[in-house]
Amino acid sequence: MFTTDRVVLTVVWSLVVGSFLFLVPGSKRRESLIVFFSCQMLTWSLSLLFVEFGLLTNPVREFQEATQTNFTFNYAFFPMIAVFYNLYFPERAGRMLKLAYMALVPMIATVCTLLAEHYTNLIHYKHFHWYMNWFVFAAGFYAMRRYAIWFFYGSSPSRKGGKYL
Amino acid sequence: MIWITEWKFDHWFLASVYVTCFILLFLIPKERRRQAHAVYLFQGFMTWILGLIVVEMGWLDYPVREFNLATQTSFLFEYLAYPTVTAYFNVYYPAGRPAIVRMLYTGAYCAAITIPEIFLEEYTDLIEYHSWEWYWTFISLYLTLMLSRWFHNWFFYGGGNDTTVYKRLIGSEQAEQRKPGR
Repeated sequence: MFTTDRVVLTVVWSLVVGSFLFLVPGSKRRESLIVFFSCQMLTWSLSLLFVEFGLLTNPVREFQEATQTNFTFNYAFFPMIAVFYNLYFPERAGRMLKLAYMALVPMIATVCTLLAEHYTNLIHYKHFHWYMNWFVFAAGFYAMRRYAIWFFYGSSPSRKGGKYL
Repeated sequence: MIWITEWKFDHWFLASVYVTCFILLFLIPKERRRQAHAVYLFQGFMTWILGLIVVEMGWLDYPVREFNLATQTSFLFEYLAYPTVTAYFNVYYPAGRPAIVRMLYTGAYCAAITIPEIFLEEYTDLIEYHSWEWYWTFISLYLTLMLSRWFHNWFFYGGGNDTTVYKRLIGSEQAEQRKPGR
């Protein structure tokens, strides 16, 4: 009943719901939802492609019959990291700090995935590697941020001097 | 995935729906694009989990699909087709008209999906009902379309929305004047 896998899934769900309710400021709620939903669109299609092409497998799943992909991480956890990546993005900081941020936050997501890969049966890598994971996160999170900026501000933040951010 | 030379009607049908959806998405008026995006994404958020639940419970089945190994659900319908329909539903929603008009409008969208689905269930392998019935399709479509409209109204006209950024969201003065009452 209380296997590591289930405990991990429960903790992830509570973290996601709790952090969205309590850590996302009201004025950023809509922006965060757009980032969350758009990141889901990315994780949804990519997780299907990765499993379809045999890059990784998910032996323990929430929807055992309906899908061979992991649901919790793709539906809630990775989008949530994208939300916080967007919320705390150091738009007014120097280039080096920005680059470090853009590399390190995806690294946190990658480390979480690697821990799940190592200690649970939720994810097993077959032809997948941590740097591929990191690259997908780095590119995806930044793309989602740019999408949200387009959605709400209609142009690049630098052109507006970071005024709205 | 099956190579194109072995495609039968079902596969060509899927491909044509992909093409149609992409064209439809590009045809959405530019000043309504953000409205369309917001509800598109929201609908994807709902169909992902609902689609998984109905297949997991064994209520219906999609024998012919794109990702044979990765999922038993219909990726096309949940990821692209239905969110596209939802986008159009919200962009052309008759806001401010009598309730009966709004109900008929919503019902027409549901019927436009339910009736083709009955034929697809009968004559193709794209979808197979087990304990599912056509009216469940109709009801679930009606409810999710209504939810998408609620989300739309909260997102663009709900509380905590008074910054200049949000005022420009819908895109045009005209749209701002045709604010939905509900």
